[in-house]
Amino acid sequence: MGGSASQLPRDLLGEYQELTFLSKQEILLAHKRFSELLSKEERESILQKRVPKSQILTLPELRANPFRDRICRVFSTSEDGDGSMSFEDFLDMLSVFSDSATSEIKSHYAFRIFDFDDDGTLDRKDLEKLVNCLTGEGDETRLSESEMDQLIQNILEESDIDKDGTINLSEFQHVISRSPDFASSFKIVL
Amino acid sequence: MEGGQPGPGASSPQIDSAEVLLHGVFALLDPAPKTSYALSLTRGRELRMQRVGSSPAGRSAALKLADCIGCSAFAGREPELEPAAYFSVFCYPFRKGWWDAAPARQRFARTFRVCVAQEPGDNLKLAETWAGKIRELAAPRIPRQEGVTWGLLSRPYHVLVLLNPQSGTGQALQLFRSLVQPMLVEADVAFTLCVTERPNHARELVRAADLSRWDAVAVLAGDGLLYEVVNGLMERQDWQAAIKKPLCTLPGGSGNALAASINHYAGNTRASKEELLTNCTYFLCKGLHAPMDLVSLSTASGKRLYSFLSFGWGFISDVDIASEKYRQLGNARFTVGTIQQLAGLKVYKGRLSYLPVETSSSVSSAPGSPSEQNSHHVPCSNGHPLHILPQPAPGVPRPPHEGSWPEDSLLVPFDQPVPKHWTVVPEEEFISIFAIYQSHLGADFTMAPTAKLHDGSMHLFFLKAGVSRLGLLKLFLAMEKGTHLDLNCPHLHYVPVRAFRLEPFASTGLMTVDGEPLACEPVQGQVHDQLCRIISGS
Repeated sequence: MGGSASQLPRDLLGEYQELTFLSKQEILLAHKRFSELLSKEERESILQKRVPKSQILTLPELRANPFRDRICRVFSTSEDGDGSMSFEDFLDMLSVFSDSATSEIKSHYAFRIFDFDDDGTLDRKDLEKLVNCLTGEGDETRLSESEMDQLIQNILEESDIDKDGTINLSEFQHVISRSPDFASSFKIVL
Repeated sequence: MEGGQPGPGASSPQIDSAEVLLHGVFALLDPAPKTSYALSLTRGRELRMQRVGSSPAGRSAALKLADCIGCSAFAGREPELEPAAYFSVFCYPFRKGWWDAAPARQRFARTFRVCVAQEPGDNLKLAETWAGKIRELAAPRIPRQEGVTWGLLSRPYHVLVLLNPQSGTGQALQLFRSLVQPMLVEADVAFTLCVTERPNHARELVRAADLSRWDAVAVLAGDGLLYEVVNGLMERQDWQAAIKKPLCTLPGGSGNALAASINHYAGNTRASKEELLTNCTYFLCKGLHAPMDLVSLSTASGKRLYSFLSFGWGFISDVDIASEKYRQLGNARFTVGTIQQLAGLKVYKGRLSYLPVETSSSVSSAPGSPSEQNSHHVPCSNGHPLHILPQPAPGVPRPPHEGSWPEDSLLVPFDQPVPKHWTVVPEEEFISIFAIYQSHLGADFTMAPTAKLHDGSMHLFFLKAGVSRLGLLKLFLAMEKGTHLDLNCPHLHYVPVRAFRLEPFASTGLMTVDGEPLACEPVQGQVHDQLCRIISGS
């Protein structure tokens, strides 16, 4: 157990096991990794602290993820909307991205992550941002306007069942959840 | 009347296409009963219909009989009361729809009433004369093409239709009843419908059936079912004759790359779903068939397969397999699958070698033992030593029956290096390796625009590692229009080949053959020119 100044109380550990998809080992490992993001003094009161988004994003498992920014925002319960995460936020995130989480939970959160403007549907703007996240930042690494149009047109044709120009949660789940590979691309394992 | 036609293009000056072969005045039964039409059948294969009526400028139309799939004559229901006989013409000309930009084949049917005599027998005879002449003029001209022998199913013909009820949202059976069957009836094509119950059912059926009962075997489903049929035929003792039985692909809503390709070869514009099915059923009603290349694939573990569409490993195969689920929604599209695979882009490591079409035509293929050619060749190691056995090794298995399969004369066993005149790709890290032998991978995917049914080549595309996600997306979008090669992406290579060998360094991911998954292992294959026959349009 070396290193962490404060250990996770047994009853909390049990509670977390109940509330998340994580196993005991996974929770303990998460606790260790989270505390490493805090300074030595902060580790005393690990459960009360929030880690700024910039720190969370230093985790190697998140650093390479094209949607790391949105992931933090979605799981953060910070009232400031700054994407900072408490330990419980962190656990929530790992729980959804764990092997044991159901496909339904994963697709539910995937939807929220892709819903950049948080308005409950995936419209053109959301899809544009999604594609741009995937292809990388920067002006040189973007699709042309006509290419983007073509792509979004295709996506909508393939997934917009009620043809209202946006993808709602059930349309999203209908399309995504059937994919055999979906679960593996929505996985973060420490 | 005259049989075979002269060469393609202009008719000889002696033939007057306006010459009228038959002329008569009959009443139109529907859509407008009691209107009389003056009909003329011309040598130029047209049915001219001129309305006879009070107005001097009677409406006239000319039906091209090339678009006609059938014409039948029949007697009236009560000959004592009504001596008239009838004949019905069924045509499917290209017409523009209400709001569609591209023309599609639309049904145009007319029934005419023949009542020129008192005796029902005489009327029927006249009706049958007309119907027979119309059918004769509707028969397609057999194209003359250098090095390619077209065929025409001789009437009357009987087709075995194999149908997968799960295909494309489970609508295949309903599509058959509502779209395919009526056309077959109009064209007077007999059929036996067989609904498959499980994977490989079609393969077993075709392997054991008495094929002499049918003149053609049609598949109403996706490419996967035709794959079963092709391999089932090759597994027969009499495969040499069996593989020449004309096959037909009718798109049932799943992966229908071959149907899209055949539609393209016939010069039609892009069609999907029902339009594509109508076009393909039309071809079946016309009965023209052309030779099609097949590719024989052998794996290191001893599998031997025949393929008509594609072989792949890497990104495109992953998308193909991932999109399988999406295709059940009725969309044979790849965009969502592509974006999803893009998130977790993988690199596939292996050695790819091939025999380019250009090289193979200049190097004479030695019929002697391939090991002679390679006796001086040092096996390239790259850390992967190849063990050479003195005798022909068990790399190419014998087929499970007495008749031997067509020899893969271009290939050598796996434990020997590829022949000297082959090209070995120096890079060993790929995003995708894909060989396609037809033009389309889907209705919206023109992967090899120059491909033909019988061009003797596999169109090999390989995408080396290092291409960005953006670059991949751009390629994907360009592929919809067939302009991906114009992008000049430095990572994308295209070469038409006669044979290839792929040796993965590790069993990463799945390979695909005609869209069907195959366990990852060393594979090699070569083209067998014009091995089978497929119903096609000219």
